[in-house]
Amino acid sequence: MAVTNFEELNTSTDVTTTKTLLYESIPLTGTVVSGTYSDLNIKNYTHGQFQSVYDYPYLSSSANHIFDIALGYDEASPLSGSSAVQNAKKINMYNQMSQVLLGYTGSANTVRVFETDLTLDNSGTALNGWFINLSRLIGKDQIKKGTFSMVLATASFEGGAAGTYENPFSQSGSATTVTIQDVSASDTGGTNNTFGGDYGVLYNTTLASASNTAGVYPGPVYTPAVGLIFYQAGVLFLSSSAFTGAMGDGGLAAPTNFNYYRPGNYYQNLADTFTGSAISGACDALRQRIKNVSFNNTTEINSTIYFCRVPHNKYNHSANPTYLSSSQIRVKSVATDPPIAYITTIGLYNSQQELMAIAKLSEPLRKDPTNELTLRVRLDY
Amino acid sequence: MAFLDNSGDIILDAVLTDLGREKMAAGGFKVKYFALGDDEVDYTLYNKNHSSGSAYYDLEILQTPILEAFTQTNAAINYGLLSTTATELLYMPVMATNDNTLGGAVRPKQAKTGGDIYWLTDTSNDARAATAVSAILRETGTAATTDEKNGYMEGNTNNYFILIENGLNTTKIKGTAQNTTSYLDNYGLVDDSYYVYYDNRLMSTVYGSDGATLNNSKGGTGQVTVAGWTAATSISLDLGLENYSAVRIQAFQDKIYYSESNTTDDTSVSAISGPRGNFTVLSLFTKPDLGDEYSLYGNTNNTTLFGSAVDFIDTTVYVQGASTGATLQLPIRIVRAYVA
Repeated sequence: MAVTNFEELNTSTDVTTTKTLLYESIPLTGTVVSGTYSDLNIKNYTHGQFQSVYDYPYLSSSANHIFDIALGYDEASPLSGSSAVQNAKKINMYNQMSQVLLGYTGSANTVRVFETDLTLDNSGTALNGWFINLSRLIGKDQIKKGTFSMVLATASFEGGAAGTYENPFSQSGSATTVTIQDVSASDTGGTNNTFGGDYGVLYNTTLASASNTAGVYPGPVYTPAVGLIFYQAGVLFLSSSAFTGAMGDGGLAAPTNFNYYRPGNYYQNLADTFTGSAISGACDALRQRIKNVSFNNTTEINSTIYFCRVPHNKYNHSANPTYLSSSQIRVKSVATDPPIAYITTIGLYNSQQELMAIAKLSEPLRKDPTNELTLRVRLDY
Repeated sequence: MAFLDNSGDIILDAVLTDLGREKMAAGGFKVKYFALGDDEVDYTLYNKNHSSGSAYYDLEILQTPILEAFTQTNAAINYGLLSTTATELLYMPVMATNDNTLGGAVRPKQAKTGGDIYWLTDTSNDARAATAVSAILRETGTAATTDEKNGYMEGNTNNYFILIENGLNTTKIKGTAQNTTSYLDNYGLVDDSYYVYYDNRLMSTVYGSDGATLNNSKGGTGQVTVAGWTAATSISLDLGLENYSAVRIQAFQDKIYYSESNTTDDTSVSAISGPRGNFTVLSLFTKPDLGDEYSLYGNTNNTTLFGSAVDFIDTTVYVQGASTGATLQLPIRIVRAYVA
């Protein structure tokens, strides 16, 4: 039955809007990314331009898409060459990500190249790298600045049987993992802004050394910059230098056995991985070195709050069919007893008195002439 | 020092209804009113005789589990809380169908075969059927009763109608004109019109009267006269049920009164035992081309109700007082002769 008793909202005093930032901690366990599901959660495409990572075998309806990985390099990179596998696609991928995230420069509208710093002056350029595009499911509206962390294995593949997955995290010798973090970024600074929104620099915080003073990150500890993180776009650019320990792209030397090339069953170093593997193979190489990823995402909740003011002298009676017994109000014995009604639902209506939104109480709320209520109904967008 | 009670300010999360989402997509979303509902509450659980005292009277009501919000508009608030400001009210009006024939034109609901329903004929198959539907309803078949034989409405005429009264259905207050003023008029508890909601897939329109009287006399039975019929005015009120249309019909003063000098009780000719407010008459027209609707929404070739086979569809017509919000549901069975 249609409601016949309405209370008008005063748009100047009864309605307000708010914006709330909601943060969620997102831990991605590296084993899910690198091998728990025997790569049944990894989707490669015939176009070969990127691969998608799911949190469960992707043929299952329970699977959620968590991120994509792609690889690319600038055409000016020393790795670019006609003999490289998928050379054009790798260049196209780099350019596409660059033009979307960084834009163009100069009168010729040259596509910018990634730099592992906050300047746009072609210093610290990173001409080769991987792109990790987080899905909106986990990235939401943006990644919270200063919360991103990724642990990567840097050791060589060694001693494994051909065609088997070899753990690059637990080899003897020097440190086999590095931690990549956006330590300089915060909500109040340490970021820059381009087409792709706010971005910060990813640093290799494991290689921090008090004796090294050449770092770009403010502070006494040198932390090599290894990539960028675009917070609103949810995109990570991870320079190949993440695995070399050196700035820029000149190195590409370590680790020796960066990738185990499956079709040919031989090891590739980092440079060969970029040039001699297809994008999917090079993405596999990175993916199998991801130990953990964690960050906080941000959801911006814009809310309209309607202050539904229920005056003391109204809404103390009900049209509920059980409210009356032989026409007598059940909650009253004599006329002087106060009328009582119980609120369970608030309906919001438009000017045509059509129901637009519904809010429910968790339990019936007693309403009688001795109380006056303000029900704050929040509608989130 | 105890904490202050802060229960007067409550935050609730709202969900958009289907219509709300539709309006938002079209850029026409704007909230102007709010209304309060209590559909889950069963006020019969209010125990004024609780042995532990008045603090426990509504204990069971307050423990009522509340359903999550539905996004369909029909299941949100069906009745609602009333904005009436009178706190001294002890009685509130109800609506009831007068099932006295009052001269033959009023059709009572049938409490026997098929349940508590009103029969409404669809004559669309009469030309091809061996027996017209009106004749079938008069058959003395296995289940047909005397009431059914005379108790149907014709779905394409105003010859028979439903009579609805409104008032205080209590024997504690006499149905005098003075009590009508004291208990109803003075509190604005008299409906000048009624909203009628009907399934527009099955019915083409609803007719109300533009001039009707209902009264009783000292020694006789009640009398209802309808001076004229008019197709009810369509209104934009949304029942929230798909395929339901809303119309408004006029109400008239119910002049059945109690008098000590009456030789026939007022209560024997009226559906209301106490003071009466207004009444209305209602005639329903079926769609002329129902056709396959019987197989889609009803039953076909039914041979258990009457001697001859019939098709029928059950539906509900909702009536609501425009001022009081009092409600009434009319179960309707549309029936036609079956043709193979």
